[in-house]
Amino acid sequence: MEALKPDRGPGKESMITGSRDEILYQPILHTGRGFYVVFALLSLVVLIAAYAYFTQFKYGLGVTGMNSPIFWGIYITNFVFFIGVSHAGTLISAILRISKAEWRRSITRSAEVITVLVLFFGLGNILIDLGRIDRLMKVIVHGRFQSPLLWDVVSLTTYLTASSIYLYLPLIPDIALLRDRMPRGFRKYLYEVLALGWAGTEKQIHYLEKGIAIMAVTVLPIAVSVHTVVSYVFSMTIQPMWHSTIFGPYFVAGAIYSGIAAIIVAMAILRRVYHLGDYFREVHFNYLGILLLVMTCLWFYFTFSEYITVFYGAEPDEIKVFFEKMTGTYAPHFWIMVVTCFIIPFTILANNRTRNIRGTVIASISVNIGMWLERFTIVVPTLMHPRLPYETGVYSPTWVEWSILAGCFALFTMIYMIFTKLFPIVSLWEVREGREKAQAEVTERLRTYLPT
Amino acid sequence: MIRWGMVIDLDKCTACQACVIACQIENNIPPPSPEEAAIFRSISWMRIVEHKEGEYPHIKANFMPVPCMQCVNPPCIKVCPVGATNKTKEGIVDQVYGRCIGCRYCANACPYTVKSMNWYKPEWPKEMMSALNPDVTVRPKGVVEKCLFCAHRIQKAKDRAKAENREMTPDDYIPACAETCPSKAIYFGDLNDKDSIVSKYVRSPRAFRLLEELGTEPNVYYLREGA
Amino acid sequence: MNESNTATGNKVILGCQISLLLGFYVFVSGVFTFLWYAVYRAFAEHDNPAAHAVILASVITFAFIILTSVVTMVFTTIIKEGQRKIVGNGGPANGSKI
Repeated sequence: MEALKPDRGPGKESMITGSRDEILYQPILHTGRGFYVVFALLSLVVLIAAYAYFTQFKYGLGVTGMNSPIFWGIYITNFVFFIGVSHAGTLISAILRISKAEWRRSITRSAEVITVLVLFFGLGNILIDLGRIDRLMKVIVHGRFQSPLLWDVVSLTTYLTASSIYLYLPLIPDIALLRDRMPRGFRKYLYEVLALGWAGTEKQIHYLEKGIAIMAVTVLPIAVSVHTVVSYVFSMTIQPMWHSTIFGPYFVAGAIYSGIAAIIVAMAILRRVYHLGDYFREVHFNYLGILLLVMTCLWFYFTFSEYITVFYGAEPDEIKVFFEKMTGTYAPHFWIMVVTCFIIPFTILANNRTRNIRGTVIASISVNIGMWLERFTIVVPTLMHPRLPYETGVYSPTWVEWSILAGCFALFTMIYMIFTKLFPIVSLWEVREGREKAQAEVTERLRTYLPT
Repeated sequence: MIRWGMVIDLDKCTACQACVIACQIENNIPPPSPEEAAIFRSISWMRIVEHKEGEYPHIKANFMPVPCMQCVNPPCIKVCPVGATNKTKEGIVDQVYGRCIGCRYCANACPYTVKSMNWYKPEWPKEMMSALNPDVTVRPKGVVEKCLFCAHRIQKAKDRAKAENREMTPDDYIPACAETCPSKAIYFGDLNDKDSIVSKYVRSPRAFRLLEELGTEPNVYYLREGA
Repeated sequence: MNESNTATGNKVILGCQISLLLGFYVFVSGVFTFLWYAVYRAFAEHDNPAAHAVILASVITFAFIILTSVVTMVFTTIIKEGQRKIVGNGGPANGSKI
């Protein structure tokens, strides 16, 4: 198994194994000026966000725009949005691995990193939203499992654990490659520890692949349960247009949707910045674009079902919320969401000629904006019109909430950048395995499908 | 077992808001600043709600005092992650300020929107500080609060009865709003006692409850206007 | 390269790796404690329907048992084989099978 052999860097032996993927080592070995500039700018945004949170911690949640009856606003929107994006890794990594799609090989790592990192921001936003974050331990010590928020806590913990394991296991052979490449220093020591003594022996390979296979199957139901449970926070109440049975599948579909879009954007940036055009090719963007197109149509189907049911039923409490979204205060949010979540992605992705790298990236950025707006239009208009219709309010988010949103994006990008400096962002051993073994395997598989 | 309930006679209610003020004084509710009130953050455990029907010039306006409904099946208790809101044996939906983590899920789950959140630390003008009721907790910032049927008065009633060497009767305890109402529109008592005045009114054909179809079973009844 | 080949250097690295695995076990036992304490409380306090707690605790325990098994299996195999290579060949990078 040449692919899993340790790598000794440019040299005679590694002319076969090493130098072809030399570009994947470059981010780890060298850091350009651009990295530091971007990192510094992002740190500035994070500092502003930290100051915003400090203000909120000191004075109370009053510095936000929330009021009565709109008790939840941007923080909960962020929470649902970030947990949604975390389905990136699950789809690409787990589903494509199980379905033996060979084109996944270069993109699994970047997707899995998104999944693990963004979960922290989902969790973080819920913590930021608490009135008394200093009492967080009460959730552990006095938690009541009757509450959907506790289901959230539990399923998020499970998902975080599972996806971290699922990121780490395929990382082990790559860490071993780095361990053998690096000169003496702290990083080499880190890699020594994390590589767990990987030597590419048959037994190690066998057990690792078995472990990855089990994890791929395990992480899927956990991922589905996570966003379903997030949707239950809303659908288990009796508020108009929250108490909807479609919320479970709707949120999961929306999560996969924003997850794929996030991967496409991440891949496009990595491709440009680290010159990975050979690994993130047109075909990858094309296939991801087709998956994104499928999810566009699925998202439209769910949204249409949800809204037409409300419109036809015309239940007085619900129809008030419905018209608030269609023609009222939140009409701009709703219609921009429809344009960015359906019209733009569909027109770009349905057409072969526009489903190239630039097209899919535009569609993906549009989808991410649209999905954030979708979460927002789910949370706020319902709260504006509670069942007893005498209490109403207007929600104007303040600088604190916007800063924290910007800070989340900035901090996520920063940690992602740090990850690319420590570990290869393309799964080296899987790509090599693909180069060496995949063709024969696929030919063999095809032979089993087709009649003799 | 006692089940505390309230009956509000809308025929007698003049919407004078004495109940609102009494509640605020009794329960240490902070007065909001004008800016806070403008963005819908004033806390009131008892609200006077205006229900308008018709169009000008043929408007009919009804005013209803709305305290916490103290539901038999409270939606707020179902969703609290830490058990800060729960029910006492006597049917009052309790709020434990020391347990609340301020997630506001209960406030969102309540269909009657009777829960309020302390967005800032409650503050009073210096002159009002000496008027605070020592029997009621002053809430910290970041917790949710609501009408508790002046449950602190139950303990006082029990203490008073003990001092007089007798058991507490339901007549010893009355919330501030019911006590203050000048037109005696608010009746209060034990709904499980067939002879109490609230039980009698509850059986009246004028009696109704808010949002009955939701199955929350409020313990606050209203008597419709007009005989 | 030499540093990793010394006996003490090796032992420290092995210690770090094992403590990673033990750390994971501590985390998982923390999760189990949280879940089953919640079940105990649900029965003791009669506050909320115990069914929620029992069902959730069972499902999540099952999920974490699978995760722990996978981690144990992979970690112990890789570490053991790696140690074998170190003892045999003076380093996991030196020589390899196949």
